[in-house]
Amino acid sequence: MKLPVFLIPVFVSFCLTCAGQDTGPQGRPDMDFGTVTPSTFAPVVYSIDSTANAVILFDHGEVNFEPSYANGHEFSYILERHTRIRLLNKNAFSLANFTLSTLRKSNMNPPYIENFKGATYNLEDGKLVVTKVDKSNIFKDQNGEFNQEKVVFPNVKEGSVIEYSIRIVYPGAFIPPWTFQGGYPVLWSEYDVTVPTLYDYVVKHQGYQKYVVDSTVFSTAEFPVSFNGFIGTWSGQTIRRIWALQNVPALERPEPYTTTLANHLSLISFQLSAIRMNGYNKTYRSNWNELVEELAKMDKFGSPLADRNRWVDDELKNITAGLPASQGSLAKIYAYVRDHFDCSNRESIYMTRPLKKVWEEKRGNVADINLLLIVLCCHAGFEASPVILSTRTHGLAVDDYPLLNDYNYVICRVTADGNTYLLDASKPYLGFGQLPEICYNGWARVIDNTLDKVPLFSDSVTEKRTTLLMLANTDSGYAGTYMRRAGIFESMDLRQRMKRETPDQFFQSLEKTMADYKQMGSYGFDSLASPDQPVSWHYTMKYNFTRKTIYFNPILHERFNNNPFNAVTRHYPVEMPFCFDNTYVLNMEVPKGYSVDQLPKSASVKLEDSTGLFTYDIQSDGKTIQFRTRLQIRKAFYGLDEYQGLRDFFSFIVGKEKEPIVFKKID
Amino acid sequence: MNFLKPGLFLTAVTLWLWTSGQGPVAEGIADSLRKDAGMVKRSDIMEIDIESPRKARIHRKYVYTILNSTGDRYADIGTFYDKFNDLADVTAILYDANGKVIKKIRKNDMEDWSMAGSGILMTDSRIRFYHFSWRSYPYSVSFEEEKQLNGLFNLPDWRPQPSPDIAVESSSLVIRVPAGYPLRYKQYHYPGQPEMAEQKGGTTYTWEMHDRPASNPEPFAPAWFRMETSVRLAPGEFEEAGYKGRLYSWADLGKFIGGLYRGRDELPAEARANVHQLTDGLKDDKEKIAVLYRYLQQNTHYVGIELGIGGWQPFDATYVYHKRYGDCKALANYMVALLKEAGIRAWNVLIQAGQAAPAIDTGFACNQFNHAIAVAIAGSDSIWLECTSQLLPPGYLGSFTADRDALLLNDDGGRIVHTPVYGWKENRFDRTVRGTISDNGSLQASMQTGYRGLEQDALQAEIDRLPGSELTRQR
Repeated sequence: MKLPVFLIPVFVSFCLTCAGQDTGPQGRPDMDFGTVTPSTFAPVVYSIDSTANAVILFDHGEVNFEPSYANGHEFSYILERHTRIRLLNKNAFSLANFTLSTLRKSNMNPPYIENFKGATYNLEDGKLVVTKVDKSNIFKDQNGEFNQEKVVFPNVKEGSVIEYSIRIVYPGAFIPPWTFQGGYPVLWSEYDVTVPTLYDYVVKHQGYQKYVVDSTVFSTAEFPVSFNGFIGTWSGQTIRRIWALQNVPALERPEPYTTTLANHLSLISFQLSAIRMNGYNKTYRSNWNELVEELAKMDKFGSPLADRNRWVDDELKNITAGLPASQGSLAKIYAYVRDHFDCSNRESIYMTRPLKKVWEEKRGNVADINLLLIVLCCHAGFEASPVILSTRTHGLAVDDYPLLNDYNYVICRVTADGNTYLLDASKPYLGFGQLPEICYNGWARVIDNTLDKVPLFSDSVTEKRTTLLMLANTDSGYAGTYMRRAGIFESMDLRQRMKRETPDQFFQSLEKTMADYKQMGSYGFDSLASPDQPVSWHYTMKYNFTRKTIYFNPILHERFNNNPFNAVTRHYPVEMPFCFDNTYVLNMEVPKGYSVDQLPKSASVKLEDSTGLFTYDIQSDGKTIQFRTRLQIRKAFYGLDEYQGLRDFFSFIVGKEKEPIVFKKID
Repeated sequence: MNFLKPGLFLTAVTLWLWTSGQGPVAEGIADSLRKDAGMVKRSDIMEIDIESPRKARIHRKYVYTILNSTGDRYADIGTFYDKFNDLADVTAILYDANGKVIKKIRKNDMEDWSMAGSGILMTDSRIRFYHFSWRSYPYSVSFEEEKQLNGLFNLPDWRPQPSPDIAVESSSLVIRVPAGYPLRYKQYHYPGQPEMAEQKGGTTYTWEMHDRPASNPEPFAPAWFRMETSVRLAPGEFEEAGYKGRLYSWADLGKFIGGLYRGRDELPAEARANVHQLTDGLKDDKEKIAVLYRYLQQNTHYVGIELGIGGWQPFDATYVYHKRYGDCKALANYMVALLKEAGIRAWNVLIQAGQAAPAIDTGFACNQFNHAIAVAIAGSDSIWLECTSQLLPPGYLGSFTADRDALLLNDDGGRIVHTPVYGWKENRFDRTVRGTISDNGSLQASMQTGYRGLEQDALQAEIDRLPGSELTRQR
């Protein structure tokens, strides 16, 4: 998207009437290039993390604007990034070679790298030895749409300090985001951004760390601007914002049941919300009304939907075979798109090619395919609108402050026979009305006049699994059947898995886990090829009991062998991917020639707020045993204060599920 | 000699059909070829024209019909090129079930990617890639490319049936060599001999496969590459980036590579001084090797940079000393230089590395290597050294390069050697559990586990990589 800013490169004046201090806060290191001294090497270990393989001594980003930059005649932001790292041992040597990638060509002017400076410092015999990064250490490469510069720092050994400074130009009014936190601890991370108040930005902060520097300095500037034919001179205030974090711990390793660390790390991001000056005012996406209008006009989103698209009517006839608009014909249209189109991996809310091309080539990205589905639905007489959302690995979108960059996925909302459905035709394993797990990540927005919000949270959906095991004494010995009906998401996983392996391989690996006195008979999957149905799998088995004592665990294939919340302390909240409800039923006869010596006791446990429930019911009349266990988790998000309760809850479950039924041979 | 080979006839028919405007359709495929097949090769011709030791031209054209989703990966179009292989042009076409053209692409429509990644930081090996996708079966793709080889050191293999789920209607390899130029080749599972035809100026060799059905390998069958029909090619005389060589024996290969290494083992004065400071006081050669190996490990690390003939020619020892990095052959070469300075006999060794890598065919001298290590002599023992590892002990190779033939580069060129075998005596896993079971059925125990030889590779790598707290957490 190109911003309508064209500059006449003439005269720029800056007037510095500062209001604000510039005294360095305590702990702020000297961040000039080359200011490494022997004392930098003094620490053998850093108190922030004694096990770290490397420590980022500082990471400094400075953003300044240039009303007309170089020969681009374009307003640009310039980021100067300067980083200094202490490599403590060889495990961190990968930090000493990295790749800088920039987009090669596109409709927008992409950012480009202007300058790279680097050096390795070593302390040898008390003296500082500097080895500069020169041309022989930089390799230029091209990969797909990217230009790459690969840098290899020379003379690196354990204890070395490396530093680099890099200058990146961002044509336009885009301010790059800043991540304070990463895989290594950072002693000082600072972002210093100066913007003219010509541009208004919404600033998003994320993370649990508190800034040690959060300052604002005002100044003034004046320069010529040009927007869409409007030409003038802007003069006004500039704002300089500095944020810094000190002693930022490395991102903890992902803990079980965290959606994505990207949602938890400390970062700042910016999105343009308005251009303001006398005579010219333009707001960008300050509220959903405007955003929906904007999207509706875009040629990569809304405007293809408004086109006549007459060719669609002919194609539709073949798909719906003349059925009137109903849930049945809608299901046919959906199934057609899902089964005949190939979706590329690139997630975006924008189309990559004209609708007709998508149809002819039978391929596209998520937006191409689902927007095509909407066009088909509309032409078939249904009310259909796009719905945008942010997927789990993309981070959280903040619904109150619409930032288009936060959204990366499009699905369809369609009404048929009075019912509303959410459809995603981009994945071959999705059934009608089903959405992939990654879509359940917060509020989704319908892009039409209703401006509706759709709740797609992790606890908006409950995954239900049912398992049944039956065992009896038969003429051919002690035998039975196992059957599991998977929930929606487990079915999706199984369908994807069965594209990579065969059912034979699946059951063969299952058989490998079985005890030597158990034998698998016939086996199979049901509904693998019918995405609208849940997947079931089943097998028959025979047991050959000979020992005096048999320890028989009534729960097959789904015990919690370990407490997923084993760690004593937890750093991130617990995020279940969905709510779940697992039921397991066993009806068995006592094996012939044996009697029940020990039967586990029935029990139940629940979380303090009853959002978690575990029941274990078992009884026996000596000849048969009935057993039923059910685990329900009705909430998907548990805060840090609820962790201990969750830990105890699962600890109980793990212990209980370990208990076997003990049979003893009758003499 | 058969005049009317059925496969050739079919190829002629299909070619005629295309030129008459109709794309490939599945109707012509025999039932026997559809069984177990995800894809059927309708035709696949690779023509190689060797013009001189320095130049060859390759022309490849194939048509595949994809019958079901297991064959989708064969619709991907990919072709490699680098400093020695120029890609002149590529054309690829996607046809639907009726033979109608859905999409046609040329070289510039394809994505261009570097083969860097997983260990290699920088290389000029590249791939032109395009993903055709179509979900209505059957459908077909055709591909045609023209490549120029600027150096014959690596000639392509012919693998008409590279996977058991492919059925082959027709596939052929045609090579033309100038008069007097001997073509070196080795056939695997190919019945008979290639057809040879003398023409003015040279000889043409042809290998063909027709009407070979797909198969469903039995469980625990040997790996497919051991069972498939293939032909391996190698030059006699060749030239690469100005370096001349011949490849009639392993010694020849060693001489060529040795020529690339010549003069690159000079150490700067400071390095030589270090070597003597570290080893002059030691009496035992084994100790000297261990000390120098540790010196290598502490002062260098691996960075994969392979450009041009630099894919074969190592950075010189002075470069590695100053930069403190190099790829496998640069580090091995540097190690050998250090050892020689200490008066120890040592050599570079070329090897095919990888835990599951196929053994090299010692009966056919040609490039079969992807890695370099070093070996040194201490008394009557050979001490093998993996120079890209900063953690392995001297003399231990691990499953990456153990128990296989390799090429040792010596003054006569080279000879085949075999790396150490770690067998059941060396690879031990010992676990002792001492415990007491109390009245209520609970067990209190202590457990000690010892891992030796190849058994300890995985665990040792984890210990080296993870901090103590993480190790405890994972265990």
